[in-house]
Amino acid sequence: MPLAIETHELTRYFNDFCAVGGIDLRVEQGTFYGFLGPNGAGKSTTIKMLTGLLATSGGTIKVLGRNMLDARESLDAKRHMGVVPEDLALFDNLTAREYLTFVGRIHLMPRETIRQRCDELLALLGLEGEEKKLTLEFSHGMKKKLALAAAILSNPDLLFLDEPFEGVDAVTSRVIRDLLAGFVARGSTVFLTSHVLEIVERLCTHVGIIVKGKLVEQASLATIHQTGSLEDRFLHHAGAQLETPHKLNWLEEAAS
Amino acid sequence: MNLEHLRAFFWLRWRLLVNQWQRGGRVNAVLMIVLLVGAIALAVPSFVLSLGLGVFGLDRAEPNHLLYIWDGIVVAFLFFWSLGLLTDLQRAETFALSKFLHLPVPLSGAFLINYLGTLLRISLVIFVPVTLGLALGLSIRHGLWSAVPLVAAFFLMITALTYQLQGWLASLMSNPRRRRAIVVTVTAVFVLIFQLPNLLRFIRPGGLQQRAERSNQMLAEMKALERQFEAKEIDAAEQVRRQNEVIERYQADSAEAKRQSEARWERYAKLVNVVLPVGWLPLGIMTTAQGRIVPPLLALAGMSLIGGGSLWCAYRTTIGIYQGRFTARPASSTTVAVAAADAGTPASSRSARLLEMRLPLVSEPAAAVALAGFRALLRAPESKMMLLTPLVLGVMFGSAVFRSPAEGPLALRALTGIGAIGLGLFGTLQTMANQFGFDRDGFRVYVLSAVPRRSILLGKNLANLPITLGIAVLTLVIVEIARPLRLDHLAAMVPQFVSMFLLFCLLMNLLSIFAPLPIAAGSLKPAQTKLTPALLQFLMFATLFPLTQVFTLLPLGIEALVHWQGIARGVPIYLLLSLVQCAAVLLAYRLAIALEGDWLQAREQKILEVVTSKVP
Repeated sequence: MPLAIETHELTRYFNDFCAVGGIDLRVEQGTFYGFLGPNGAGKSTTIKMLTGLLATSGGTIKVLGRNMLDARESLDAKRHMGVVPEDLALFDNLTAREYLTFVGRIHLMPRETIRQRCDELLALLGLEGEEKKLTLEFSHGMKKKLALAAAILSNPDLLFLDEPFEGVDAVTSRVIRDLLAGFVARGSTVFLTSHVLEIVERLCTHVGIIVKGKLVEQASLATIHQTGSLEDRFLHHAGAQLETPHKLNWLEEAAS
Repeated sequence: MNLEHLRAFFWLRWRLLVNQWQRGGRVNAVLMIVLLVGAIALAVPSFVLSLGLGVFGLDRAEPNHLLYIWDGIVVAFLFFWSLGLLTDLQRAETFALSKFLHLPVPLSGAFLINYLGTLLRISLVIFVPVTLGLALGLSIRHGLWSAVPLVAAFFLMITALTYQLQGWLASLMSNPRRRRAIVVTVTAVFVLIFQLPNLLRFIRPGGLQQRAERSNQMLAEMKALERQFEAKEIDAAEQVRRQNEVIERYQADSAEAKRQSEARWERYAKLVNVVLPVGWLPLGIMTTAQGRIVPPLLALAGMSLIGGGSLWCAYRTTIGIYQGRFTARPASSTTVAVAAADAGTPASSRSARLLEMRLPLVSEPAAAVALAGFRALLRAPESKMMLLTPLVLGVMFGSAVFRSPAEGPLALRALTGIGAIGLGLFGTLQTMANQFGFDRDGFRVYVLSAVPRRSILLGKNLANLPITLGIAVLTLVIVEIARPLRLDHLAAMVPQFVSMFLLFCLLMNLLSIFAPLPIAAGSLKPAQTKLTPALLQFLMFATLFPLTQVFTLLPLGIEALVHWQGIARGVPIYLLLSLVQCAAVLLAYRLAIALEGDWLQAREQKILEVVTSKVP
């Protein structure tokens, strides 16, 4: 199976702090890849480097067979990618439809296709009643939905989603899950980060676990399930120190 | 509430202040701390100096002089105070009361803490010792018993009014869109109030013009006497006698004009002091010096009442916030109905139609960037604030054009036309010099996109074109009405504009790529200003900007020179050369923007880091 994402010794330093320390990712095309890790493990830094939002300190990145460190090839890769970054990428002063129209034109889509997909996406994600609002007036969840709509508008081959379910209501969460499942079923790839293990367990086919900037596990979910649950595996890598739980005596004392 | 609460909240206020300074870099933090410590350290000596001035320095001061001195102090204080207020307003959030309401602090305590927290300002640290020292000095030496209470009442009034205003604005600004409108309005009012004297002076020069006219008249009379002497109509002694007469008359007229002007200003000053409560402090001190009792008592009572009333109203607002009276309301049924009706309209929503437009000769991505940028610019409060600069400059420019004599060399008139174009460029200078800074999170879209970076730059430049062109055309119309240009010169303004705009764009692209600045939403003020980009911006404005524009003056200069030599009169050299120059600049722009596109791509991650950094 050809690789959608391949990194070798991918590294990123912030001054002396090593946020990502030489990771080798291998994400096959047509997989739903869940990228897990505790807070501050380096998930967002990795996804930023993969999508070209952040420069690397070392290593190589190949996305859809293109070298992301080469200016021309990275542009070529971006034509086939959709991204929902951690801090989103919206313009405060545009409405949802205006923003989607803009993104569609950037992807050189025909007007009629943009209009049609805008209608469908806005309706599907429950944003059709918010046409007059500027994105600065949107709630966090609405912004997230709009960013997702923009990411899939061009019908990409590869989707990068940084915490896509955070702040999204249960109904929309279900819609997104179905949408992504269909997306993978047709042979496209999703690379997703999430804190919610249940979502990853339900959706993903493959999992990578990053802890303190190191990729400590990378396998298919089926392989992981052979030795236990994903939670056990995650806690084994990320929460080993919790084996001897700490207690706060003052918290457990009876109220006086 | 107890003393520990108070200390904790003062500490919080202090930390917020220091952290905000630190975000601007270590040098900025050190500078600000030095400034604050310096102001505190200077408080004692400035109090002593002001006390000394009050006791020993104003022995011969008339009551009117005291009025002017205190008016000056009040105006200076209000200027710095308003600046601080404006900065607070432009910040996303200052000392929001809602952040304390879940803590075990009584409502009245939270209110008091919040009010006292607003007193920690550099302007108060500087002005309170000065005014208090001066008032005490005047009380001791001159028996101005009302000075100190008047000063106290003045500061109570100002701080309470400000606090009430902030609370009122905060409740209004719970809606982010309204918040931006308020920030723009308040900034515009502030700028216009402080620019008003300048504007009035430009529109009605008054005293200056009269003085110039008197002086011109005297010179004309002197020259007439000179001519009479040369024509031997009068002898030397007669000439000297008459010259002395002219000079004496001139001096007498000037003295009378000065006396009248002073009397007029005194009348105005007193009227303003009576009408505006901020003038009651100087008025109270002046009337006390005149030996009157009732006016200072009224001023004292008035300011105290306003201060107390404002605090009471602010407290009521606090209770309102606590009771959730100002939280966002759900959309009304009408709004929902309208939204629902809009949702039913055909796919091509009206609001998105502008973004679907095609631009001739421009690639699809560049057109998308241009139209989205233009739409965002029209809505952004910062662009409305930005338009204040050309508005003020336009009034000055227009009045200068209308006042200047209509005759004069034709080249000079064309130069005025070029000045009008320059004003258009100046109008968009702030957004053009930091094109990605105003995108903030939106800049990620460009980094993530597959669009050639030269198209992004072209689109960005085109987004600003309508505003630049609009200002330039409006100003040119004013010029054309006041001092009509020759037809070929008027026609040459088109290629002249294109050349100037393209060169301006190339330079501004460079600045945007190499010296981006983070800008808070709804503000034009760069946050976390770093030394290098600030220096680069300054160097560009001071040197390269004028240099590139001077180059575009060549065709007009050549025409003036050739016609001055008496060659090719009647040939529209300026028009022809400006067309050639425009073609050359277009070619240069086409080549240079590709290069700038490569630089943008090479630096886009660094730019992203800067423009998306969280601003206070």
